[in-house]
Amino acid sequence: MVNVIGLGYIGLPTALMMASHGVEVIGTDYNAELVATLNAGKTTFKEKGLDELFQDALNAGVKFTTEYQVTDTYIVSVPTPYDKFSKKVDAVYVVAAVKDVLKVAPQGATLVIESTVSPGTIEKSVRPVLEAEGRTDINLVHAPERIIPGNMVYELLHNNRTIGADDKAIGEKVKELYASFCQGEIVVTDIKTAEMTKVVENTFRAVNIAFANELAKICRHDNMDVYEIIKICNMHPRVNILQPGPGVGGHCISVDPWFLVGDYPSLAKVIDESMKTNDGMPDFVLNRIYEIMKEKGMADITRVGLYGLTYKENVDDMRESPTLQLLESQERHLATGLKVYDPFIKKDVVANQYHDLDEFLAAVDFVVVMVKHNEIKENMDKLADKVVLDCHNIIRLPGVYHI
Amino acid sequence: MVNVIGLGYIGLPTALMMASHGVEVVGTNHSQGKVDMLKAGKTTFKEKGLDELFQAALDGGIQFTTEYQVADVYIVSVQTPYDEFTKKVDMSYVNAAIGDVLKVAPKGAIIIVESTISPGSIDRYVRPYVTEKGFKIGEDVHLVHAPERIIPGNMVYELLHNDRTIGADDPEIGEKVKELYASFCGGNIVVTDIKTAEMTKVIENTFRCVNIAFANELAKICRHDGMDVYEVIKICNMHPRVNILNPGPGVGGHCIPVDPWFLVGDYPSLTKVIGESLKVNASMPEYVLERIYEIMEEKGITDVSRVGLYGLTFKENVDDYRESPTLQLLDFQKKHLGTPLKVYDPWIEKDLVKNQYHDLDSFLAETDLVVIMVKHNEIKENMDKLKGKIVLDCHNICDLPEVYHL
Repeated sequence: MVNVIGLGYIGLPTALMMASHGVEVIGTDYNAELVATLNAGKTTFKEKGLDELFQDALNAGVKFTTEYQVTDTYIVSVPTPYDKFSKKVDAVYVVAAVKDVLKVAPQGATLVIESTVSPGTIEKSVRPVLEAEGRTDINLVHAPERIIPGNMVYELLHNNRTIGADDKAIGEKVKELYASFCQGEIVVTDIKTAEMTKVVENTFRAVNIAFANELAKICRHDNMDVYEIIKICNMHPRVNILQPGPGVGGHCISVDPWFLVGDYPSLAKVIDESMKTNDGMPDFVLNRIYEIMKEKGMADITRVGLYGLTYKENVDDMRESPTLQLLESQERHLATGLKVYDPFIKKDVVANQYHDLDEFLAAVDFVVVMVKHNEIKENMDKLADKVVLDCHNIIRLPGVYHI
Repeated sequence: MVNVIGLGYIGLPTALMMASHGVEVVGTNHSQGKVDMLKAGKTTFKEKGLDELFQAALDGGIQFTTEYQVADVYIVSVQTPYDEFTKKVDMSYVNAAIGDVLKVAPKGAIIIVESTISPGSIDRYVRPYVTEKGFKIGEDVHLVHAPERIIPGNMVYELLHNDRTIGADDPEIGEKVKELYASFCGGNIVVTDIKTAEMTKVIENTFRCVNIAFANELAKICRHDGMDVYEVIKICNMHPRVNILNPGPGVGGHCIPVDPWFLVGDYPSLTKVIGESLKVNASMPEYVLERIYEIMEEKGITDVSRVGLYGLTFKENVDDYRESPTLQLLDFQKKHLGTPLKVYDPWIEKDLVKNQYHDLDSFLAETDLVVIMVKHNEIKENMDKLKGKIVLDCHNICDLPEVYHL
């Protein structure tokens, strides 16, 4: 039996995936409310295909509880927040979960950490816990995930995976467990390499997004069409430039690269500049809004609205989203926050938030497309008489502004 | 008839390609020696498939001369050197060639600049120059920019198959030039404006530069922690949206280490990532030097004359050594008053630097520590000769035990 600890954005789909592929799974979360929701047959966040997967897992007998189980395999997928100032990862939840696991884990159990951790965290923060408790019998494994929100279910099934283990044989056993549902190739390596690969993957994305953002700024300065340029460049056989955007959010690409900058400040120069460029994009958008208002002779900022609050399209996760970064920057400059609307965010999270597209559009003259949800793509005609700043190059209307 | 001006690494293959695909081509170069050599049936540099292509072009009736021709289309592919300090491109060769073209060009001729230039160069340098000479652009002559994308070592294949970009003031002229290139190019050919075409070429090379720098940064990070960067990259690249390039001893040649500076020069406050990337790549030869120093310390080697650099060119299996990492490394040594290391490259026959060898076996006989700076096929095929040597392999191609890496 596998006990999955932490039923968030990663833990829950992973637990469901295993359960629906014949593995006996119990999901544990300290949050009683979350467990109650799951036990009532409801999923806790929105994600394509998740409800169907949930049903399959229920049929296969997945269980949810607040209690840690006595079993031979644990998968820890609790959050790893980071300190905004020092950018260091805080392994406190991982350590707490590991301590709780050790209270019940039988001799020789395997403990898989799936949470993203900075390279060396398992050595520095987790292994000492095992040693302090005299539990060197426990097999430590790191199995980072690679799935993209919005397409998690497909990617869990098809992406390649990495398993890091002290002991190759244990690594192979864990590989078999993931192979119950994962059709991709699964590589077994050591723990530190596994930690490093996960962070480097996201850093590759961060650097390439930053490059696209830098190009957008250059092209803006010279009034060139960055999208046309990228399209042509990408016809080169060895070139694949990503798309620029209003910033980077979420809990991977905007966070993980800082681990490398924090640990290797004198070496991670390109990465550092990339992070600064991406972090600067919400302010760049704000400046674009300012420029366009001037050009259009607009003075009333209450008539400007931000479309989208989440950090990417068609998900309900708004952690560190560019829109939140933009609003925070406004607040720090003592400005009144712009109007906001997002179809995926039902509860009130910021001031001046709308919950209906038509009401939102009726209250604004100038719409900034911060997130390319399908909803706005399908309702483009509603923007026909608005001033539009399209940060994603999705709006096909005349006179649209771009970043 | 097409008159190709400048028969260097780009001009010659382009001229040959057109001639071998039914276009009437005359190649013009100011160097009498080069023209004589071509007329004598010899190519002027080594490149896979070039000799066969040359033969096909000769059969297609290509001619070589030092004279500018009366033609409807001119392709200018002269060099665009850059100032090492300011990193600005030197347009004097391009303008000199265009000046000579204008002396003979009939009304309505098309002048295609194929040389790599920094974005805005045609507006800033070429247009004023042509106008000053009394020519009306768009009537007397048409200006086009048609940058190339071919990789040395695989030029012939890539000329045939890569997509291309044509930038023109007048889309109709752009289409005519597209047809000309389509005589041999099987890829898609996009027609856009001149400035966009200039920009795309530079950005393509800048993309490569940034991604090489990222790989080099990873190599340094992994070295610091004793991790295997090649294993890390191999695993990362199994991610569906990740494609990390390989680290190396530096970046040379006339594209990737040069073009990004045009952007940094023109937009210094906006090109932070690009600026750092150039610095990281430029630091690699010195980083290799430091690795050599560390390895010598570790192995107790004190005699610098027993250390040799394998490879002088800027990439494998070509004879082009412009700005190569090995030359950069030797330059660093010189500036630190060091005695330059021994060097050998099978592709460089003339004596270029001090302590240069022209035979692999004599080179190896004189060295105990071999640094693989270039992954020529020759060394891959003679790996066993490195047995018993200490090897610093900057390209992860040597699978002998106890090889050192970046």
